[in-house]
Amino acid sequence: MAQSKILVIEDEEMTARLITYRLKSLGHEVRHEKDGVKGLNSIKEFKPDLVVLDIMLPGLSGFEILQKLQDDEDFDLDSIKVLMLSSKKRSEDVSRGFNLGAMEYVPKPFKMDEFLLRLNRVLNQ
Amino acid sequence: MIDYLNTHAEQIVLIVVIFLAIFSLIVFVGAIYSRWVLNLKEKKEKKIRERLSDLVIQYVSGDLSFENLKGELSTETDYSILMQISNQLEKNLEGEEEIRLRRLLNLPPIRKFFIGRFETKDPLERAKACLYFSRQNKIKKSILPKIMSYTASKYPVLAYSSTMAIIVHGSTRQKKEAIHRLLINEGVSNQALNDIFKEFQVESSEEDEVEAQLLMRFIADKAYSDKRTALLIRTLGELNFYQSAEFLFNEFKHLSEDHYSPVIATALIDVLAQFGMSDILEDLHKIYTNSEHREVRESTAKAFGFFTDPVSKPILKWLMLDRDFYVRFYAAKSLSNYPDVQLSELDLPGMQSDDYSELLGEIETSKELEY
Repeated sequence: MAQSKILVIEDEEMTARLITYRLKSLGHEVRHEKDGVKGLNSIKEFKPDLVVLDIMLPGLSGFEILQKLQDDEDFDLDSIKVLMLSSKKRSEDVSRGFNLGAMEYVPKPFKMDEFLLRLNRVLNQ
Repeated sequence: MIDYLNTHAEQIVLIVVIFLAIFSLIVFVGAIYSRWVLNLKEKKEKKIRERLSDLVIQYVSGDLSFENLKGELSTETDYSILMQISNQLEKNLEGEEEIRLRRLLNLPPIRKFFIGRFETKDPLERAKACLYFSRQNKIKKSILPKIMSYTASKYPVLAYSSTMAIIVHGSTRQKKEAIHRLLINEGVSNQALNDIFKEFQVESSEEDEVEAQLLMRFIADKAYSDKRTALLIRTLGELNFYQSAEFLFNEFKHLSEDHYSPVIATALIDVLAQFGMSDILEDLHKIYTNSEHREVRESTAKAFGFFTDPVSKPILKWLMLDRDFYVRFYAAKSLSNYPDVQLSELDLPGMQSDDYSELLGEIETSKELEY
């Protein structure tokens, strides 16, 4: 599998560690940020191929991050792929994420295999 | 005595000053020492947390065996930290990873730790123990009476956690009693009760009838506050218990025309509309469209959108002139469900205002986002 640059923006330490561990063991280059503000900065600096984005984050929510990227004329949102990871399950939240540019949504709690499957599908799109 | 004090005043002051200085020094050194000990403990715990986090991640991922991980655990601190990190992970995982974590949380020292929590007087500690047992597949039946007694606790967190454990491990009679106690505990939030009802549904997935009957019985008892009764009604809707439609319709018909609870009325209208119970339309047209309660008019306007019947159409146009924004919003949204209605072409007073354009924009967005 080709190595990709993946940014995990997730405030729950253990969940982020597990995702990072699994992605690194698959050969990806992974960076992790715990809050929305740092996450947004990292998207611009690290220029990941894919962002695993939690919705409920301190600082800036996942939605706010996507909205800011969409409003930023210097940033091409199409250059990154976004996979939402969240315990928010209401259809309006899911729709909102897709409308803001996310390509996939994985609800928490999740099965790791399923998460990796969807992540690969997004990476290959 | 006075002579003595006069003669030795300087020495007495000196002694007092020295005593205070020594006392302050002891307090100061004590504070520094306890901070140092605390820092040392935090540092040690951080190190253990780092080490255990890595091991748990490897174990959960299937790269480390259960026995090997168990071999790394020895002290009480190890187990305490293991519990914390496993709990953090467990709530986000399903499947194999979750099964592996549950096996960890079932280690005898951890079970023993939580059984010990029942002996404390602290309701929060007891609540943690109840939540722990609610996540176990099996528990010793001997601890059920104790957990059951906590469902009557005045502390909402303990009442909630113990009810959760009863829902998972208790008998139908115990479940019913625990939920009843939770319903009359005003400190328990509706959200907490929602969690309980959802868990109840998961646990009795093949016995939906049991839960639906129980909820209907609670509503029929009329023993709870309007807020709680409305929650019970909405739960029937959220869990899609269509078998309760007739019962709810009967409750709806028995609302007093002049003196009904708006909280209960809106819950009934919302759920019956969701169930597609068109028999409510007649009363909606005659009684609830003119309700003095804003939320009832709002639910009525929303309900018409489910049926799109011809009689409701002119009423919706009239509701679009309501004094309340949300009533106007839902009236317009329901009208937009009629295939022959174009909101922008309606000839109604105030349609040229900015408010109206804003309302149309909101409806468009809500439809795009499908809510």
